[in-house]
Amino acid sequence: MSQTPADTTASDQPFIKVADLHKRFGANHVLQGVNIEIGKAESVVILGGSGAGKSVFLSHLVGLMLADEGQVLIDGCDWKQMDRKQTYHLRRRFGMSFQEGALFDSLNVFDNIAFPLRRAHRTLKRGEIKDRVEECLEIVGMPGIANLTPSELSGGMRRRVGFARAIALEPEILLFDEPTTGLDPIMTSVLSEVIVDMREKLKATTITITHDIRSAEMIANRVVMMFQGRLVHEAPRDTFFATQDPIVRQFLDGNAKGPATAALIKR
Amino acid sequence: MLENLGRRTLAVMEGTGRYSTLVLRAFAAIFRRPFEWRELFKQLESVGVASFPVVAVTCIFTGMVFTLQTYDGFARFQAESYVPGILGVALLRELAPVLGGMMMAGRVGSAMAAELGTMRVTRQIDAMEVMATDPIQFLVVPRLLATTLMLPLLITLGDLIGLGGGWYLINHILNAPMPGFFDRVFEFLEPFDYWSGIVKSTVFGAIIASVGCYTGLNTQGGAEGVGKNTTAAVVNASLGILVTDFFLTKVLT
Repeated sequence: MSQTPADTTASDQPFIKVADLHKRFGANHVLQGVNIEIGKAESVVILGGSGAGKSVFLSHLVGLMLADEGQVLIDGCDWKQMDRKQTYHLRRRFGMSFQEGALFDSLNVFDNIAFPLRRAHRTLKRGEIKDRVEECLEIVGMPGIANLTPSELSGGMRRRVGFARAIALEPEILLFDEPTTGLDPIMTSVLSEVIVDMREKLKATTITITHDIRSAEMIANRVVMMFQGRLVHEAPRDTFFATQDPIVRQFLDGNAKGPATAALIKR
Repeated sequence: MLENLGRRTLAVMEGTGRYSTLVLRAFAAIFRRPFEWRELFKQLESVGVASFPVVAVTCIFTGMVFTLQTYDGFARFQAESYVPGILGVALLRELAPVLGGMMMAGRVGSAMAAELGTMRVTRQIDAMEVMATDPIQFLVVPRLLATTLMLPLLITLGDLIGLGGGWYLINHILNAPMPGFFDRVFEFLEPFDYWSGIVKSTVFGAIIASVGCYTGLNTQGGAEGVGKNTTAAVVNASLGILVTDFFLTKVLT
């Protein structure tokens, strides 16, 4: 795969480096040698169909899964070399938004967003936590809903609350797992704009996995295509969508027939 | 067939190893800061206070049924006066801890498996991990402590309620007034009868919580997986209680 220079505002040293990452679940070889370097404050979108390995890849970035082979380095730190304390320390630099939000059902919106704050800063006063929660809800465009429970929220609202929780600790790295899947086009655009806003406010490195092309166009500095556990093509946003790579082209055009379908059938 | 048997044996051994690891990690996490007081009090309320009616109904009817059976049998050789003492021993040593424990496995163990299982399949546990929070420390330890602390207390109350059931049955349902019913109970009982039941219920509490949490945390496969694992948690905790009861009885007699 060609390593296109990142459209990044940061130094040459890669902030995130993934080298020859392999992951297997039994006979299923999900990640088959993923290589990527991501600079500070860059926004990378990883596009790919269902079962391409995107979510597994994202889990490796945040250390929820460990590589069978290869390395995942975050600011020079390898998840595999760290003990539990070091792992949790490094995770405090991350904010992650999950598909469907993954909000804690037993807590209301306020306590969901306050959760990472209370865990990371035990000495924070109630007023400080309240201010920060309100600020986060403002950023995601959802003020005044702190007392609602997750069951009272729509799909789009749940995701935005998930975003608010992800940015509560002002993380350096923001990960978004399918942030717009299953939402209508208007809500997709709204959420994509929220992601761009959050990134600009926090100056965070942002990695988004999605199969939503419209959302990718709005969020990305750089777009990477994942197919069958490999990153098969990457390019800056402006050139990615004009690519003639056959697999990417089939995905972008949404054609039923093409090399991607043939490869999936052969598999 | 042999291959299948080998695979199943390996799966059972792997499961046992993973369960033991979780239990050890949970016990180690009890002594590690930060301590989750808020979660502990929440669990003490949900495991203890909310379970009282279940244990009370179980013990009162167990006491009444046991009294009815023994009274009927002992009356054949005019030994009814021994019924209160026998009821006390049976209830304190065996019936209240085992039946109360099994009811708690159904009520508390299943709730833990379902709650943690749902959290697992909806990725709430992953979210917790990403927010630098150890699910064992935050979720398992408070549940383990609450169940281990509350079950002996509930069983103590259940002992008294079961004895009350026996007294009520003899004096008001069988219409065979037995003055000094409780005197006969306490004359017959030794402190060890009570403590052996308390030791059992403490161990049963640990089994219920650890099996419930382990099963919940290892849930896979969406809503179907949650349903299957919830059933498995109740069955495994109940079996664990029955098997452990035998060994504890052997050690404690």
